[in-house]
Amino acid sequence: MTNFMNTHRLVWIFLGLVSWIFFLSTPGGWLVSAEDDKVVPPEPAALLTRADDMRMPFGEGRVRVDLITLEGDRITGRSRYEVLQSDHGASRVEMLDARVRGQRALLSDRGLWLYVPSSRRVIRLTPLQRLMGNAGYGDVGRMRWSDDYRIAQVSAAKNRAGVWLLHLKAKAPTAVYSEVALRLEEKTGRPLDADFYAASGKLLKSAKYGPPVEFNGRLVIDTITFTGGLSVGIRTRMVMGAFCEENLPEYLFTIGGLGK
Amino acid sequence: MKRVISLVFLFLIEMCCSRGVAAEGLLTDDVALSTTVLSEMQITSARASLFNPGGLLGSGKTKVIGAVVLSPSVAGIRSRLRLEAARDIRRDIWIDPSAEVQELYTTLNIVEGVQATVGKSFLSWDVSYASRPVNFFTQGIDYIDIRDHRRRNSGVPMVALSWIGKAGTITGVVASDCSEDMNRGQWALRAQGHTGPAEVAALIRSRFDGLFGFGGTVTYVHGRSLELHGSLFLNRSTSDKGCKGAPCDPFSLFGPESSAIYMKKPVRYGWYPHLVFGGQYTTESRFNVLVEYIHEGFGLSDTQWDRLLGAADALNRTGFLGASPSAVKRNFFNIAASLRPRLVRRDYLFVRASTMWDEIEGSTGVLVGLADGGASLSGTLGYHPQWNWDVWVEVRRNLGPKGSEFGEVPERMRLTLMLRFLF
Repeated sequence: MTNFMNTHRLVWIFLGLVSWIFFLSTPGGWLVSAEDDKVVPPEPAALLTRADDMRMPFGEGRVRVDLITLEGDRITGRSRYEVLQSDHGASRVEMLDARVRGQRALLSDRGLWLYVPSSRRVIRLTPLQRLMGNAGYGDVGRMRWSDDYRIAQVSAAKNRAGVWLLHLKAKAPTAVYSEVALRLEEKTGRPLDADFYAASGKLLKSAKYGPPVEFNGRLVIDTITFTGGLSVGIRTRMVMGAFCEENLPEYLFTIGGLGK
Repeated sequence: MKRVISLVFLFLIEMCCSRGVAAEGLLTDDVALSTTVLSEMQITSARASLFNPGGLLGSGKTKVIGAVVLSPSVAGIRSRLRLEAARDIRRDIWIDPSAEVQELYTTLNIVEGVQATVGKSFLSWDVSYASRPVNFFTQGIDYIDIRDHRRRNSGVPMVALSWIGKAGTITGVVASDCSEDMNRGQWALRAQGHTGPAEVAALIRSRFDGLFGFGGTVTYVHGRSLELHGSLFLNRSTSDKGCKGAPCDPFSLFGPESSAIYMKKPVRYGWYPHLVFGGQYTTESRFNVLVEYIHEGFGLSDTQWDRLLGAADALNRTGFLGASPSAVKRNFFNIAASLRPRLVRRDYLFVRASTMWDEIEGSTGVLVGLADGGASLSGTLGYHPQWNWDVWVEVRRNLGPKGSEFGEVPERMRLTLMLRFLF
C-alpha cells in the first residue's frame, strides 16, 4: 500500500514537472514566469483602452510623426510621416521624406497596402514585408493595440509595484507582431515599455514610452524609443506632434483612394 | 552645334538641381516641387549573333546619362517633366538631349468619393511584376527596375472617372493607346473589391477599332509570410503584335520607303491570353523570394521562332549580296528592337530573391525562357542612407544555347551605375 502511494506521488510530481517545463517553453509562459505569478486582473481591457487613448487621444484625425535614428547620441537619420487615423480602426501613413515622398500605406484589419507614386502601383504586402524597405510605417501606422491585439494574459510586473504586464496576442495574422508583452501603470494606464515578438517567438524590438504631455486636457505620450531588433546598436526615437482631431473622408481609407 | 546644345542642356540640368535643393523650402498647400537628379553610367557589351552578324549593330556602348525629373504641382495641376542628356563615351559623341512631359493632369473631386482625372497620366492596375497583362496606361515599364528608380514610366492622354467606396472601386477610362504602333484610342472599365481575404478586380478593355478583351487580377495573403497573385487578360486581336512579320511568311525586305520587315498575309483574328501567376514569401530575417510563371499568347511558337531565325539568316546572306549596308543594318536594328524589351516567346519563369541589411538592399533574379532554356540574369545592389541620395549598381546578362532567345539577342551584358539625388 505504501509502495502504491509512493508511486502515485512520484507520477504526480513527474506530471507536474512536465507541465511546468511545457509552460516555460512557450513564450507566454516565459513572460509570465519572469514576473510575479500572483495574478489579480485589474479590468485589463479598460487598462488597455486607457493606454490606447494616451497614444492616440481621439477617434479620428491626423498626427505628425518623426522617426529619429540614433547611434549613441548621434542622429544618423530622420523620417517624417503624417498618420491619418479613422474611427473604424484603419490608418493611412503618408511619407513625407524626399526619397519616398508620395508613398502611402494603408493599414487595416484586412491587411497592408503600399502605394508607390513613381509606378502608381498599389502593392499588397504581407505582415513580414513590413520589416523590409521603409519599415517605419509599420510602427507609426498602428497606434491602438486594441485594434490588432487581444489580451491573452495579465500578471503583476516583477519588482514594480502598481505595474501590470499584459500579454497581447494578434487577433489576425495581418498584425505585424505576433505577440506583445506590454507593461502598464495601473493608476494612469500609462504604457511604460513593451517587447514585440515574431510568430517564432523571436524578439523583434523593444520600446520605452516617454512621460505623457497634456493635449486638450488629455495626457498623451509623444515620445517612444525603440531598441534592439534587426538593427543592433541603433535606437529609433518616435516623436509625435501636431495632433489634430477631424472628420476624414472615408475613401481615404480604401485601396482605391490610396492614390488620391 | 549639337555639342553646344548639349552643354546648354546640362547647364540647365545643373540649374534645376540647385533650384531643386531650394525648392523644398518653397512648398505651400497649392505649390509643390519635387526633383530627382539622376546620373547614370551604362556599359553595354554586344555579341555577334544571327541578329547581329559580324557585330553589325556595334560591339558595345558606354553611355553617360544625366537627367532631371521635375514634378511640380500648382493649384491642383500635377506634372512630371524629364530632361535628359547623354554622351556615348566610346564613340565620343553627344546623343540628342530630350525633354518629355511624362505627366500633366488634374484630379477633380466631383462629389465625395467620385473623382475625375483629366490629362496625361498613368494608371497601374497590375498585381504582377515580371510581366504586366493589364498594363494599358503606362509606358516605359522595366521588369527589373520594378520600382521605377530611373523615373522612366510615362503616361498616356486620358479621361478617367472613379467611384471609390468602402466596398470597392469602379473606374472608367478613355485614353490614347500609345502601346500600339498605330496609336489607336482605347477605353476600359474596371471594378475592384474583395471577397474574403482575396482582393479581386475584373475589367474589360476595347480599342476604338472594335478589338476588345477582358480579364482580371487577384491577390491573396496567407498567414504572415505568403502572398499569391494572378493576372489574366484575354485579348481578341491579330497576332502581329509581338514581333513584326515573324508569325507569317514569306518575309520581305523593306524598300526605300518602308520601315521594316512586313507581312504579306492578311491578318488573322483570335483570342490571345496573357497570364501571370505567382507568389512571394518573406522570412523574419527579411529575405524575400518572388516566383512567377508568365504565358504570353502573342509570343512566338517554336516554328515561328525558327522562322524568325531563318529570316535573319536569309537577310544576312541577301544583304551582303546586293543591298546597301545601311539598309541591311536598319533591317537588323528593327528585328533587334522588336526582340527587346518585350518578351517575344510564349512561356517564361521568373525568380527573384531580395534582402536588405540596414541601408543596403540587394536582389538577384533570373528570367528563364521555358521553350529554349535561355536565361536573362539580373542583379541589383543599392545603398540608401536616410538622407536625400542613394546609389545603385545593376547588372543584366543574357545567356543561352545557340538559337535560343537569350542566346541570340544582341545585348550580352549591361552594367549600370546610378546615383540619385531626391529633393
